[in-house]
Amino acid sequence: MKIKQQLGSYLSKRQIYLFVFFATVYSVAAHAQQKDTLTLNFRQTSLKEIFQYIEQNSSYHFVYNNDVINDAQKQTITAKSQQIDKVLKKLFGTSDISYTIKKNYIVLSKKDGSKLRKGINRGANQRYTISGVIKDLDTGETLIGATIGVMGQPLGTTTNEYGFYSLTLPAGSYELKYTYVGYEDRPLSLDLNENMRRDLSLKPRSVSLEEVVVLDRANTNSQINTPLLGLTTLKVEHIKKLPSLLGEPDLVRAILTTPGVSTVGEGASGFNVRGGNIDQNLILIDEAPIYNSSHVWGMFSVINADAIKDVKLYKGGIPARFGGRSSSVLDIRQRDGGGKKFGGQGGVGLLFSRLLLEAPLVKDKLNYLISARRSYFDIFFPLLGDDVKNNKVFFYDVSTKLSWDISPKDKLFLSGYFGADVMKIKFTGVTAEDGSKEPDESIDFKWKNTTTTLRWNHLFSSKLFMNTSAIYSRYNYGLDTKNDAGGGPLGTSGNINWESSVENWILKSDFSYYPSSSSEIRFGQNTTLYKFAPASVQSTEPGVNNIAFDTETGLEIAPYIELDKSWERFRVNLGLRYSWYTSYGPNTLSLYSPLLPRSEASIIGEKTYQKGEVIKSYSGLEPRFSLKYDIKANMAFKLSYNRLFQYVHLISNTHAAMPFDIWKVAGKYIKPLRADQVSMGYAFDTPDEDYSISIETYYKWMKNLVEYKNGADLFVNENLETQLLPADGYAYGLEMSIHKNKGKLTGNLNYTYARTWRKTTSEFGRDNVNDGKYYPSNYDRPHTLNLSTSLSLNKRATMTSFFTYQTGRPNTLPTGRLFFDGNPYLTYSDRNAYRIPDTHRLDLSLEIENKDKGKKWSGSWVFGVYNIYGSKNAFSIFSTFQNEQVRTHRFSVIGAPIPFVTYNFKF
Amino acid sequence: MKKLIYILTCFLIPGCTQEIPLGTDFEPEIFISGILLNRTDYITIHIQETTAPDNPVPNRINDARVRLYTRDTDGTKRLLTGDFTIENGAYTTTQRVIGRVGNLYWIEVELRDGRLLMSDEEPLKTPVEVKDITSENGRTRVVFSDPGEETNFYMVHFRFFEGDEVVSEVFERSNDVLFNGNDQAFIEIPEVGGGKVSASLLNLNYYTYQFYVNSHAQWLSQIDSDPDSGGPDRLFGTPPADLEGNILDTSTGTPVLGFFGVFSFNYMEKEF
Repeated sequence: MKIKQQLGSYLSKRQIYLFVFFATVYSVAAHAQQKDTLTLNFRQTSLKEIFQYIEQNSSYHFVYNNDVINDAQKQTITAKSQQIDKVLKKLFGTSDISYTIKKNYIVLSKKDGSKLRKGINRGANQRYTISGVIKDLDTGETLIGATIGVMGQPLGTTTNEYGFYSLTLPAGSYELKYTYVGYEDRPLSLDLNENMRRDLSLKPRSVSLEEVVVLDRANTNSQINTPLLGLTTLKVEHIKKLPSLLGEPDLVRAILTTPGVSTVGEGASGFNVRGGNIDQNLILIDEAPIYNSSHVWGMFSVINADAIKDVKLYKGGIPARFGGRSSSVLDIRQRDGGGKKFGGQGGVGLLFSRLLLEAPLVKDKLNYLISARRSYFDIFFPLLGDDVKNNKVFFYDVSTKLSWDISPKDKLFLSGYFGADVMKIKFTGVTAEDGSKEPDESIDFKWKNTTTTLRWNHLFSSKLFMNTSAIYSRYNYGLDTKNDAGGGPLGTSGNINWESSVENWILKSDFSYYPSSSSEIRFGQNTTLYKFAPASVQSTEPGVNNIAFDTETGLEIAPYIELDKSWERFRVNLGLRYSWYTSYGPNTLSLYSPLLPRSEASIIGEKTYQKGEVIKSYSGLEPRFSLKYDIKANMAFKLSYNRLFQYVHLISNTHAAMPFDIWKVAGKYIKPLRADQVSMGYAFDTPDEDYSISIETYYKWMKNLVEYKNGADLFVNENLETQLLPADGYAYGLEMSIHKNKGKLTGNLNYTYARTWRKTTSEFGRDNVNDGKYYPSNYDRPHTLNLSTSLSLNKRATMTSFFTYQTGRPNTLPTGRLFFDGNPYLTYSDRNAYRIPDTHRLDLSLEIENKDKGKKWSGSWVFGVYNIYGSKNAFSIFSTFQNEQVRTHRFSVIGAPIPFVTYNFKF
Repeated sequence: MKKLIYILTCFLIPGCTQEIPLGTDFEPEIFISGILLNRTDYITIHIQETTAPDNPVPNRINDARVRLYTRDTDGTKRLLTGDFTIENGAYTTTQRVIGRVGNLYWIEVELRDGRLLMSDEEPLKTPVEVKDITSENGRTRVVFSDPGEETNFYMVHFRFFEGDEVVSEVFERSNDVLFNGNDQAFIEIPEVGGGKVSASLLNLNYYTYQFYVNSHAQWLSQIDSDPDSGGPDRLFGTPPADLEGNILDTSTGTPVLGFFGVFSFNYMEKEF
């Protein structure tokens, strides 16, 4: 660790000198302070050499400012097996240098410049606040999670989601240090004798061999600092370096490399976190919820990685400011847009291209960003023959953001996202010999995500920050058939249009109050209006009704308060959220006989609810608790408990969730899901921070899950509750992860043991799945092993790999046969009684960067192969009859190596 | 360029299949099937025990006791008959039975091991009249007026004739979600051919309809299916469902494979 080298060129003469980053990482070496002894024999040797010798032969590191301490001056020292204290006393006893030992740092200063200690004592009763916003020096982007440490003291804070920080300290003189992964540290000296604002910019580390080596180091992987369990922070650089399908950087695939996250299989939409369904993940883009996270059915994420600034996945300790989903929160923050100059980046691949542009409209005031991506599989269709040449299959997405610095206290953001998948399939009728022609036919599938977020940041004081957001999110999907010959998916001829949509209107306010350097209080409220339109069918056929199912409406209001408080060894995050929810009319619901299972046959009437009339209300407290105990500075024990309510459900009974699956709000027949989770963990960083290790275990129990009946018919079903069953579930697991942070080879190895079970709880036994016994959920995959590596071959070339091995998911398989109406049929095991074979895959990629000094344009080529050895991983197993013999097959989604090449650029 | 097309094909139609051994344990179960219609006829109940998936020889049950009950519109429960002739797992009433619209009907099956299996009491619904059979644009359509006051479950039995010879039969199922109360409601299939078409419009009860839907889904995926297909249907298929209907094991309250269908029908045939 050459901290002095990194600092030297950035400390001005006015700035004073010393710092110790408060004890975020408390080296094990510190523990060895009492036992380090040194033997030295130097004559007229520069201090620099002596310091190097001491660093090499002890666990200590020197910290000083080159402008203040002249390390070229010569000294003579001899010592034999002496404690560090005595060595330092000998070395500096007659010089003008004073020293302080903090943990394993030796902090040097001028003897007459020791304001620090005086300052701390002076006016200690009076406290002042320093606050501000931290940005990237080059792009003007605010930095989320940057650290502000008080040198020499275990005090500090971090920037929030908007780059804002606030630190309250006793009056005095301080040396602060601003740090952020991938950026140069920046010190700041100040006399804190009044509340003050300090907005700073940090400079990204320049590209050098050393930087390449240490790029992945430290605190994004370390779990030491945060009290939250199961928190994963992903950086865009990491996402982009992972080998990916067809070379397209993919957020969800990156998440799947982390412990505790799984999927039912290749090509499936969404992801499962700690035993939860895919609808239990709250996916937020700039605070706006996204209801479908995939393009092309499930192959690619809907988020363009270029537009991402920061990603956090909360799966264990979920702070009280989040709610509405019961398993995880994926908080995606988009970039704000360049505040300095016009620039851009993008990529060109075989089947996709993407471009991002950003620039200031008014320098330091008004900035914009726009990014767009489109696939172009369909341009190759003419090569595949006349049958498909007129078809269109593509996706695209656009992200935009406008940020306006109104004043030092006010900032406004307007951001939007729009993404769509389009599949237009045309069938041209064949002309027969007699001249008659089959009618033409077309099918148009589409599904779209739209979000708009308007945010207002306001600083009431240096201690009180507010963000208020007005958010609109819409997911809609539809199917349009135009056919004269019939045979469309609705089973009828003529023109049919089917639409469905999910809308959220959200108004939320979040306040952050910083009463002291060790405390942060957040409070606020989140109001969400849900409007779900299950189905609207329009047809030109007189024999088909025009159908518009009632829009389901729900309102959720959730105030919360959250306290983050730290002591010397303890840190807690306490939260309480209260959620109140009601579903209301207008709506007409079927009424069922209480003596019979809920089915079309047990409907005894219906009830109409007027506009605004309450159908059903629910409410509950959601306590959140996370505790961290620092066993040592580099070793922590954690404990957490969460309760979350979820008022929306995705209704799906297919192997993989479909874009056309139905979302339902809680109401008279479907109760809100409640999930409780306790988790416990241990985090450890090696003293040199080469490795970060975490072990976490959890137990989660869920009530009011929604399961489907065997053979459920969910398609355009107004009485969907007749096809569903209430269920309880539980999940437990153990997650182990080790990151290698430094060196040419960096990476992560993680192993997860996870189980997740369901039990339907209908009061009518005939409805219950597996006779009401517990059975594994569709994504119960007990063992998962992931290994991702990044090997720096030289300054320009990096090779990355990802390997995964997972237990096969549960499946329902034939256990007998019968004969009916002259045909053989199969009988089946209990639901999910068997498993598909285990799956494994290896992906490789090579990135070659091409950046010439002084040139604005930089580019990189990425070559790779997805599933390099062509593992035919089973997605499902199915059986068919051939000549009355049962034949069983496994179905693989990507059973062959998929090579790719992409050119990425930045200017 | 060939490689590019290969990649594209892999991507858009990425699935592939490979045959593997099934490797599951055989679990024998009872399967019952039978129907009662709005006419006077002999009633036949078929009873069998399932066999292992690789065993093509049916295991007929010939030692069960079967009883057929009805409940009149005034609520009176009556044993219609307990007399059946038994042959190769088929239990046929010794007398014709009159199916009366409005009455409830059900069966009890007592197995040799003492288990009592019973179907739901289900009404024989009013038949829905076929108004017309049409054949246009390559589609054959049964047109009828759907009753609006209830949810109906239909199955249409199409038969296509060349002269008097049946050349093809097709069963099509539909609930009335798309045409509830519509007096021009229709159910259609692709035209098969033949100069004459007959159609029986069956008005089913819910659980019997569910049985037919599940059996049709199995037929599509297991018999009328190319096992080498790796299309999206494999990705987005629904998990298989057992052929359960309206019969319960009275000792456990759990469903038994099969059904006893009580449904009315209306018939029309038309020359084209």
